[in-house]
Amino acid sequence: MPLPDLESRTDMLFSKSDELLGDTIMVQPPSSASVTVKTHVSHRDKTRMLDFSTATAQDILIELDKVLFPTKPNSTWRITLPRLPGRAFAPREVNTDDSGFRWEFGVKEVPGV
Amino acid sequence: MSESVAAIRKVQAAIMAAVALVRPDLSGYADRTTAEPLSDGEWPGYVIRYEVKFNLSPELGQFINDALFTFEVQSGNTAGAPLDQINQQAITDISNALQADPTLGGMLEDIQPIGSDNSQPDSADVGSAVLQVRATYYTLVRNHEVIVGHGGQLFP
Repeated sequence: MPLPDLESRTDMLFSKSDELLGDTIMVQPPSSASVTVKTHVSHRDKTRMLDFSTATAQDILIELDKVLFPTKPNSTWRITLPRLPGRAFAPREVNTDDSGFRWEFGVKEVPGV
Repeated sequence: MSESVAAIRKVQAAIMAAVALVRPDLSGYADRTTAEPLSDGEWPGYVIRYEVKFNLSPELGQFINDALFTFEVQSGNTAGAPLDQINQQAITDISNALQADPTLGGMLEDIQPIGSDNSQPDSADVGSAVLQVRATYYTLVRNHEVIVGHGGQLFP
């Protein structure tokens, strides 16, 4: 019996993992309707050392499937997270992840939206 | 018996009171360690620290204290203005508050801002900038708690 070919299943594994384990978020590319998807989101905060004081701010990390979003997200997109109601975020520092199948990025809050 | 307060802490309290009069929305944190970061709900705010040099004054009856106060102003991501604009306004307001009465009620010889910097891009949603001010005041040689004020008034 041949060994399973993991590479050919990687994309499906990601989409299945999102479906079963993902967090529901809303993604709105510019001039488009908001899309509700399930995907992996890290909602963490991070403490930063400043000149001599420190500050804690969000350090959210979001992954999006390139099959669903072939266009690279940029700062004109809007992301809303149900766990952080009333706040809107824009992608920043958008990169392709290790697998090559997903966009991976942090966010910047867009105040007043 | 009243609690003893070091002279430098009296000056720091007077500085923070003067700033609070002008910018009541700008929270001051004198004793926050790096293990206690500021966060949402505490911005805009500043953390303050100091260092002091002592020298015998020419009259030999007092120490002249040469204190450097450093403010680190922090602000969060806010609608209508970038982080640096908010931080530079806070720095300007602090400087103006201290210049309004450079003796801080007769306690100091003088206080002057000596420099500030641009806000650092510390994260997407928080930024900080630094202001330094120099304050000079006198304390008794044999009692370093007591400030000898600008007009000879004692601040025990």
